[in-house]
Amino acid sequence: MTQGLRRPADRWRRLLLVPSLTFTTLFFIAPLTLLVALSFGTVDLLSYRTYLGWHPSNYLRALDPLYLQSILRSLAMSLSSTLACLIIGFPVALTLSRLSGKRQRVLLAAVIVPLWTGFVVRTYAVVEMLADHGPLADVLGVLGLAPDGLSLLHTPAAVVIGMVYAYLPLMVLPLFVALERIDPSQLLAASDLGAGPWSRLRRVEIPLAAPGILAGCLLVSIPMLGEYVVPTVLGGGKTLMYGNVIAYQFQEVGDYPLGSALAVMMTTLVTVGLVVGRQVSARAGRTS
Amino acid sequence: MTTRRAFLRRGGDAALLLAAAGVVSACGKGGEAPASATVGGTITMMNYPDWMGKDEVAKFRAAFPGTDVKQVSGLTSGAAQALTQIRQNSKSYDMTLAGGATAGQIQAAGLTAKFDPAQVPLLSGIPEFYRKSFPHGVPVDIGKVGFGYRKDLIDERPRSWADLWQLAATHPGKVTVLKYADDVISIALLLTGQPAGADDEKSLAKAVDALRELKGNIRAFLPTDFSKDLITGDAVAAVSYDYDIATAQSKNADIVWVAPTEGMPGYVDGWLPLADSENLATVYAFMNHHLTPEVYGDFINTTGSAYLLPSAEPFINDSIKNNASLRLDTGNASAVQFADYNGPEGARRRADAFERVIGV
Repeated sequence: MTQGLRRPADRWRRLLLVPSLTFTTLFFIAPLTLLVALSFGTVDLLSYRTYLGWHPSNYLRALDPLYLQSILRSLAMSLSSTLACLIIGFPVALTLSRLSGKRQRVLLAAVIVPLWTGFVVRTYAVVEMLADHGPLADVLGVLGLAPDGLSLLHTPAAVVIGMVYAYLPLMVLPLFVALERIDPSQLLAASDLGAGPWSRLRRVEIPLAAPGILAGCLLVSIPMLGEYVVPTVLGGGKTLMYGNVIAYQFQEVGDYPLGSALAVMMTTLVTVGLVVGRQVSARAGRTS
Repeated sequence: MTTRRAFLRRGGDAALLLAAAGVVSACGKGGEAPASATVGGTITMMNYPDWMGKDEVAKFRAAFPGTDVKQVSGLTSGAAQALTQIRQNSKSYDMTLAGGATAGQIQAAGLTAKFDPAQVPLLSGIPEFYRKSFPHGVPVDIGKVGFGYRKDLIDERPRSWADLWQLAATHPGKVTVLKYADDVISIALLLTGQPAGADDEKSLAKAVDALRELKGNIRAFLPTDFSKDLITGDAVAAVSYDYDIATAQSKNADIVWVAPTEGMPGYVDGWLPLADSENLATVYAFMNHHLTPEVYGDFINTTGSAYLLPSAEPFINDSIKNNASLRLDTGNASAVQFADYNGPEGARRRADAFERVIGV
């Protein structure tokens, strides 16, 4: 009798899954499957029609040193930008977590508000900022640091600055959540046991905020790896990241199979990296 | 008293009526239905953003009540994007703009309707040289790739591509180059003494080497706003299209246009009817409308490009008519090598060559 009453409720609960399952299937699983299928296909370069088939040769071409080099470049730029986000974002998140009330809300809004503006618009704002005779050059000129103007735009450094600016809020927010969750009594206990501010930060707060640090690093480094807009706008077409290489195959060459193979390679690389990272952090958690 | 302008305008209107009549009879149903039943409805055109006369579509609507032209943006990333976009929308696109090489490929891929020049009576106003250079449809504008430099910022007076390479080396980070794969490969081929349209591995390898050397010294490959840095002075030279440098000159009088002595890659843009269009009558009517002198003048004044229709001169701004960078002597046009489509393998080799330049 009880089971009979539960069944319709279970059915309704399962029905609630339908929208999310449909969405995931249509807009995640299906495109990913199509991408993998296309990566083994061929293209007619006259009409740019793509034909499905079994041609692993796309993956052999994807191993060309030209593409491997761009993977390494993307990894290096993504890692350095993530590190910069962490170094800049941690003190911001720590300050936010130590504030309360209206002050905290205002500063939190200051972190979030830039996200309300379009990504491309924000990137073009950086162009103006880094221009040879832009505001940054003016300030540095007044300080005597760049008397002849800046030559930063269209360089790898400009790409890193642009990515740090664009992704910083995504680092600050998980860090803030992790730091705010730390029980104040633990910090009090550390102080009572003689830990100074630096020691408390290093031995209590940073370890307790580790999940937030990991989440922030993943949130910013993964999209940075495939970044397309920032290097296009700020790199001057001279600093190609892997996202640009993939886009070139789709937009300029029209070779969807090779573009798909390059994209699958990147997806695989990121997935393997995530799995390994997860195992390493799980092992570290067990040993500590 | 009839002014030359009024005369031309009236002549244009008459030609428009003639064109409409031609279209109606060409449809084979001219005797059965009135013109308005044949030429009507909305046609969709793939076009560069804003590459249309300011009042051109409004005037077409007024001349042919019940018609409209919907423009969709495309053609900003080369032939692959253009063909894919047309193929994916073949049932809804009626016509497209395209440069000569892209037009050739669209035609080779079977995506165009067979162009019938008889349906565009005003086409005869375009000199034969341009009609032959663009046999796929209605040629509407031409352009060439050269470079501009700031005479107030440098002592050199460059005249060739070799001079530009030298300029980039002596002023590192102060030269910009447009980022359009085919044109960039073409200028490097011309620099190395080869035809702009060469697509064999040996020629392309030399071009790649030359471009890698240039890349080390330039400020940027720019996908848009090719002359912006030249105007502000952040760059001392910019490789760009003639119309773009002409516009830049109107903003900064110290910019000098250079038609390099080794030659220039050139293009003839034109309008093509597409294969799956069910409204070719309106497409042809719009093409003919475009070649009405006043309408064509509006098109040139809006885009700032070089013009092909001599009868439109009274309607074209003096700043365009008198701009040296936009001139092309058709009797001595060997200095400009117009792009053409030479088959998929060659196009692929050229695209791969550019990737070898920007990818390292």
